[in-house]
Amino acid sequence: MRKRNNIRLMMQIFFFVIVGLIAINKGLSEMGRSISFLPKISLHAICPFGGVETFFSLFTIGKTISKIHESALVMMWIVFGLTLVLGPVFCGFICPLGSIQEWVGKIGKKIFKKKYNNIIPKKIDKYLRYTRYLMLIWVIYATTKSLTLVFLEIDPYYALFNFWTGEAAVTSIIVLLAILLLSLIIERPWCKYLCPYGAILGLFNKISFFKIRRNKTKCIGCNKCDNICPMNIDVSSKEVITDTSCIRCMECSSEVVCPIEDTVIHSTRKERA
Amino acid sequence: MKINSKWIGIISILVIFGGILIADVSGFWITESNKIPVKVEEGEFKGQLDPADIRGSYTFKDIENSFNVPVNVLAQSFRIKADNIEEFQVKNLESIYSNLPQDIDIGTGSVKYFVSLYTGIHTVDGEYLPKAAIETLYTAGKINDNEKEELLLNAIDIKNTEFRDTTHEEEFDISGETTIKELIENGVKKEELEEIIGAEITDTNSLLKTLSEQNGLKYGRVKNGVYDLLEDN
Repeated sequence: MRKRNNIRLMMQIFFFVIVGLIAINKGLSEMGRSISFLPKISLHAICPFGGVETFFSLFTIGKTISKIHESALVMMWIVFGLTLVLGPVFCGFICPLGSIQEWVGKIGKKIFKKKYNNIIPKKIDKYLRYTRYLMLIWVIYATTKSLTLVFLEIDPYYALFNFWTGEAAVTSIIVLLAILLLSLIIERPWCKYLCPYGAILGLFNKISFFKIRRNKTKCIGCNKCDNICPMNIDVSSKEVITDTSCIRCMECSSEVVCPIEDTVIHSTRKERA
Repeated sequence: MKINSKWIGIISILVIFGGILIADVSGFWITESNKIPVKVEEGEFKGQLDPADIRGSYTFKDIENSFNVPVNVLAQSFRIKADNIEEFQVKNLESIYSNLPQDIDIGTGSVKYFVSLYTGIHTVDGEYLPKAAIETLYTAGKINDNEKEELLLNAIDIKNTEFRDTTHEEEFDISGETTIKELIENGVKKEELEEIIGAEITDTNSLLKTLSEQNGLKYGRVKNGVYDLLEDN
């Protein structure tokens, strides 16, 4: 029987609320009002992907791009450090955009049941996973060339927390709505196919100290791990998950869905499953 | 060593907030622009502050501090009237002038261009400017006759636009339903209203909008004039 990962849910809610409050407070401060105990900072200041966007322009031509500050670079390094050790837990435990896609997806699961998250044929899905790398390359190139946040035109994360301020581009709001609609039939569609930040963090799955590991001798082949994986990874066919799509949500693990103790775990190489 | 969700949560929070704390203490946690433009790195203007680096978050005062372009010159050039004009942020221009034709922008780029021309540090080019800004540059001797003619080709007339600073106390808001009586109750004199409308007001329950239209006047202009009276009072 599937256990609920309350820790992960609490983390997701916590960061969603924190980011939401920061965005609201920034909007209020622009109107001359604010909540005193909250920082009056823009979302750009705490977005680690903003750090990635400006890193290349800083490195190549010595200039940061408009709207991005040093704090975004700090966040970039913090998340890279965390990801190097634990893997892309930022995606599975923290990112508010990933969280809201999951929550909308729960409605989709109830409606579409077994068809949910199994609509796109695997042959097509396999190649579609590369589109987020194309997105990453385009964003970095266009941002560095123009020294402006071109990604803001389509960024659903910024739209999610700023649609009410008038600062979010209409196109980004449309992208957000499309992503939320798609979340009813596909789990985490932005994360799987379009997220440029996820594209980078996903690469850390190959090198992180901790990885998801499956003990093939204890495994009973029930395939519950495959069925639950939001990123459609075939966990049951692997001993170590190094798939770049893995978001370390821990849903496949013995902590949540795997019925056998210590069979699918998050560990270093020294403690194999 | 294995790790469960509880420890992933604890470590993530410690690393993120701990990292921010360390960055803050070390002086690296900078969340807003320091309002000082970068210097030009090469060429004729090497070493001088670069107008191209002016950000939307800069205020008129920030620009005055960096480039010695007086606040009142900027305000006059971009036709901005506000209670605290020094704190007017450049990015507000875009929303003020959002009613211009689609491919015309008066915003941060225009301010950069204006400052570039005013200071003679020619690192910005090709932006739209208000006619008032071009007149200011010409009067101040920053551009010659030929340059003025050329700039006027990309000039926008924005003489009827005014910025209302909503970050301060709420002022009386004039709407299509505002009556003459309400305006008088808020301190505007009947004679002053009659002067703006150009006719005697016999019924103070009349709507300002109706009276404006009856006397062949654009309601927007009359409204702006009445706001001026409200401010003076």
